[in-house]
Amino acid sequence: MSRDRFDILTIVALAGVALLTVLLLVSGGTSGVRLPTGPSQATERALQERAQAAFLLDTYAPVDELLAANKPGEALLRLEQIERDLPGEGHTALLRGGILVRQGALTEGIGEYVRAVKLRADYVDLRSPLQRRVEFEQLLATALPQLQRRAQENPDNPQLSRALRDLHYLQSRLAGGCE
Amino acid sequence: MRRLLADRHLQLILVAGIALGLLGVLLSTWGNPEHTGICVSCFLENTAGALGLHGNARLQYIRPELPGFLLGATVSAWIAGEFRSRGGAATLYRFLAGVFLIVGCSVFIGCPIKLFLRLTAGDLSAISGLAGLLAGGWLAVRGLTSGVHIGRAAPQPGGGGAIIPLVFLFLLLLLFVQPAFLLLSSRGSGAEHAPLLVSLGVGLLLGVLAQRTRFCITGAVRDLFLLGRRAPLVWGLLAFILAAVITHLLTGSFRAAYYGQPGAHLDALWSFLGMLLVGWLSVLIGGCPFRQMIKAGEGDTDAGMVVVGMLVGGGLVQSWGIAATAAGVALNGRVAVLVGLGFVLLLSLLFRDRSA
Repeated sequence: MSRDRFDILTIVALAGVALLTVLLLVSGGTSGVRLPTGPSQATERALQERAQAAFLLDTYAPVDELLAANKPGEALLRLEQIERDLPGEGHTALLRGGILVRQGALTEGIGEYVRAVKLRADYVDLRSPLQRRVEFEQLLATALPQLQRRAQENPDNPQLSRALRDLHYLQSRLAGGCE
Repeated sequence: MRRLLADRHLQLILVAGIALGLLGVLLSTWGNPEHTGICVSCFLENTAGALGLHGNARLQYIRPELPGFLLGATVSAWIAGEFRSRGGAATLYRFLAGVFLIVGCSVFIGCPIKLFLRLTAGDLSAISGLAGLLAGGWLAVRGLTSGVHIGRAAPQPGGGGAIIPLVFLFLLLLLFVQPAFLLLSSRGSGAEHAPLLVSLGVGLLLGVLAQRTRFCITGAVRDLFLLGRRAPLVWGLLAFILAAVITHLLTGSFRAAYYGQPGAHLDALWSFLGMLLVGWLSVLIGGCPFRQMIKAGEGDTDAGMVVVGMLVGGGLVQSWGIAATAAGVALNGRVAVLVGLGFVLLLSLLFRDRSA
C-alpha cells in the first residue's frame, strides 16, 4: 500500500495531536485556562449524606427524647408537627412505624415502615448511619409468622393481606439484590 | 448421546456453561449484590449511572465484568483470526432494540443470565420471567420461520469494529484512574462489588469462553425450539443451570421461596411480559444482551450499536422511572414494555421477506 504526501501529512498530524494530548494530560494542563477545581463528586456526595443524616437526627431529636421518656402519645403529636414542616419525609414514617408497632397497631406500623423505606432506602443499607436493619429483622421474626397465621385464618381480610405484602417487601429489601 | 459428548465444540460449550454458573454465583459471594453475580442489564445500568447518564446515586459503578466480557472476546477473536469489522444491517433499529432490551430486563429486574441465577437460587418469583423468555423465544422462532430477518452484516472498511472495544478499554481505564467526574456509589447495590481485579479476571475468562463457544441464553432457547436436544447450546444452558444450583447449595445462598427474595418483585404478569420482550427481541437480533457484548468484541458493529443502545437504555430506565423495584412495576415501566412489544411487532412487519 503506497502512501502519498496527503497520507504522510495526515499521519504526522495525527502523531502530533496524540503527543500533545499525552503531554497535556501528563503536565496537568498547567499552561491552559484552568477550571476552578472544587471538591470531587465523591466529596460532595459524602458531605451531602452526612449533612442529611445529621439534619434528620437533629430535627427528630425531640421525638427520640419523648420516646426515651416513655411518652409515645406526645411523640406522635410531635411527629405530626414536624410532618407539617417536612411533608413526605421518610424519617417521620420510620419513627411513627416504630411507635405504632410498639403500641400494638401492627398492620399500621408495618405500613409506615414500608413507606419509610420507599422514601429513603438508607434504612436498609448497612453502610448508612441511618440504617435500621436490626429493627426490621426483629419485626420480621416476630410479625411474619403471626400475620401469616392470621391471614390464613382470615383470607378475606384486605388489611392483613396488605400488611403481609408489606412485610414481604421489607424482607426482599433486607435480602439485598440489585435495584 | 455419546457421539454428541465426544464433540470437542460441545465439550467447550459445557465448560463455558459450568464456568458461567460457578462464577456467576461466586461473584455474589465475593461482593456483588445477591443473585447478581452476573447481570449484563444491571451492570449496564450501573455503568450508565457512573457516567452520569442517570441520577440514582445507589446504582453508579463501572462494573469491570463488562469490559472483561467484551475485551476477552476481542482478544480471543483476534488470536483465532475471527476479528472482522462487519455490520450495516438495520443499524438504528438495533440501537432501539438495545434500549428495549434493557427496558424488558429492568422491568423483570435482570437479564436472561440473572433470570437463571435467580431461579437456581430458589427464587420462585422468576418462574414467570422464564415463561416469558420461552414464549418470546418461541414467538421469534415463528417469526424467523415466516421470513422475518433483520438483515445480514456485511464487511466494513475502516476498522469500525475496533471502536466499541476501544470504548470499553477507555471505561476500564476510567475505573482504574477514577477521575473526579466519575460517579461511584457509596451506598446501595452500586457500592456492592467483588474486588476489581477479580471481577475483571472473571469477565475476561468468560469473554474468551463465550467467544469461542458462541454461548448465548436466548440462542439456546431458539435452538431448543428449532433443533431440540441435539443443539449443543441447550446442553451448555443445562450445564450452566446445574453448576449454578450446586454452587448456590454449596455457598448456602439457596433459599426456595416465592416471597422476600433479593431484587425481585411479585408482579408476575409484568415479569412475564418484560422477559417476553427480551426473549423475542434477542432471538430476532441474534443474541441476548451478553451475546451482543461478545459479538461487539468480535468487531460486529451491529452488535456494537445494540450495546450503545443498552447503555443509553440503562440511563433511561432509571431516569424515567421505568425500572421495577421490590415494590413492583410502575406505570412508566408497564407502558415502556408495551411500547417495546409494539416495536418488535413493527420490526416483524418491516423486515419480513414475503417472497419465500
